[in-house]
Amino acid sequence: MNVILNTGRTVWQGQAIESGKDLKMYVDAAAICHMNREMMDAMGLKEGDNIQVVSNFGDVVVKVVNTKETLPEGMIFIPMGPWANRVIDPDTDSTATPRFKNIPVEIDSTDEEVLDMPTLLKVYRKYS
Amino acid sequence: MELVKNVVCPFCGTLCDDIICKVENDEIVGTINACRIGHSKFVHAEGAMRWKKPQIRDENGELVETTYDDAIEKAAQVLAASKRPLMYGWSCTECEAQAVGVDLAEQTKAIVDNTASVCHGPSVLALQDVGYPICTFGEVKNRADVVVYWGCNPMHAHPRHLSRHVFARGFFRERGRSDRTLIVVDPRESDSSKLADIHLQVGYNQDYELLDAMRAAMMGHEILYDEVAGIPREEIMEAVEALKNAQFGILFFGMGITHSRGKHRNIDTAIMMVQDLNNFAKFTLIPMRGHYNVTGFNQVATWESGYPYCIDFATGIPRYNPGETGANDVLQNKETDAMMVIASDPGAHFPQKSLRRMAEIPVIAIEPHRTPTTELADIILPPAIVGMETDGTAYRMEGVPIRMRKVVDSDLLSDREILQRLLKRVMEIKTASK
Repeated sequence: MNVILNTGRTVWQGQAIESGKDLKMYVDAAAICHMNREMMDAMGLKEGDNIQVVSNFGDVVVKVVNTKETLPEGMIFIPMGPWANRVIDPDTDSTATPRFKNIPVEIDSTDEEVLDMPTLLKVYRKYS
Repeated sequence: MELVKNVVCPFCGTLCDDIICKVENDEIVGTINACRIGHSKFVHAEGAMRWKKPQIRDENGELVETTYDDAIEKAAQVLAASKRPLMYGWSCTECEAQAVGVDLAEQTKAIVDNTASVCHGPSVLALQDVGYPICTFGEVKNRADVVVYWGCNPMHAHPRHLSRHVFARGFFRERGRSDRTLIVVDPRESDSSKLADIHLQVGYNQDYELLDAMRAAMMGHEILYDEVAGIPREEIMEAVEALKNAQFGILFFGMGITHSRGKHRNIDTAIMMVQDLNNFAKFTLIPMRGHYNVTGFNQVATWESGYPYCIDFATGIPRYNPGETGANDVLQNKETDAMMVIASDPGAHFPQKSLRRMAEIPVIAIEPHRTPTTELADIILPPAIVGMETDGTAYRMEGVPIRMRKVVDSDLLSDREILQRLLKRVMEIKTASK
């Protein structure tokens, strides 16, 4: 399904980054995708299922949660963090600031696992 | 157990200054008054890794514990050898450390940038374009009767912001919340918009259109369309009337407009709307700054170099061109050949393309915890945490300086001491090589 990705702070993500980005709490707070119930039903997803999010800039696997903050139709929300930043638009439009919000992405259900923080960062192959 | 009162919270730009820390055996074990996020910063979470000693990676990529002397020597060698070093972060430390940092950047001919460039950088560009009609939190609490949150969700990002400035009673707002009109502009039904009197559910990427329509209506023009940016004309007019009839209005704005299409042009128009509103009402604005001292770095860098962020010292004099000299620009364009990260986490908050460059170059991290940045770092220098283990000055989001308190002791060096030692050693290496 083609949707628009919004990103940003949630209080749970804030709590997790200050508690420890190496904790499971961070994965549970930031490696998730908020979705309206209607979209979950249309895609046959239930809470806790994994989806793959693919944009022109990258891809990431995150877990679906039913949002408590209703989104406009056709929008998903991933809290800010290294998972969301796999797929946002890095272009700064000559302003020094990348586009973190409103990115066209394609989402599909997947059997792939959600990566924890250290494993996710291995994707960049600093020490391979 | 000892209670330490009037502690300033080192999390967000609200800089709540009424925190009480519960201290036992020189460790903070609890807090009173802090929000969920602030509490998590003060109190160590079970299982989270804090660097107790400096670390250097060996040839296998494994982190090996070392001394400050060794790690600072290695870091100084990296910075002295770099042709185009990038020094990024600065927003979770105090102003005195930031001043040493700008000196270090000048001496190493580095690019120095702070987290504003992934946050309110567009707001900085806009206020340089069209001005900055700002006020203090005290004025908001005591005077504001119309409060607008545009593109921000304070219930999540600045959890005590509403309780301290909107729900709070003020000198001229004796009943607190019921004396104020709350307007929230957000495409989502956010936890903040649920509290609002008027929620303008703007279409995503359409903030500029809405601002323009509101400005036109304020100036007496008719809105020619039934709806603009997904909002019916009547709702826009209702909001415009509320804004015009304010005795003292305040516009708080956040990433919803700095990160969406238009970026600084959205803020240009928002600031000009505030200026227009002053034809009818007293109206001001405050950007919802994120890190507790992101504002401080912009102040310090401006005193030291004339520019607030994205400063390039390559030619020996400060040059400023966001879009070319921003941290993400020099990483993505593969210009920078060494990076020093301090008091921030670009590993978590930079896009994938910038991280790919961070994986190619030496990275020095001055960072207390295990973070995505330290996963990509070659040298880790752990500092004492400002506002908990060391003191210093921070600037609240609207530019009021507040002294951060030391609550407990630490064996670790402060950011300021690490930078001073790094600067001294870099100067020695550079002088010897001449």
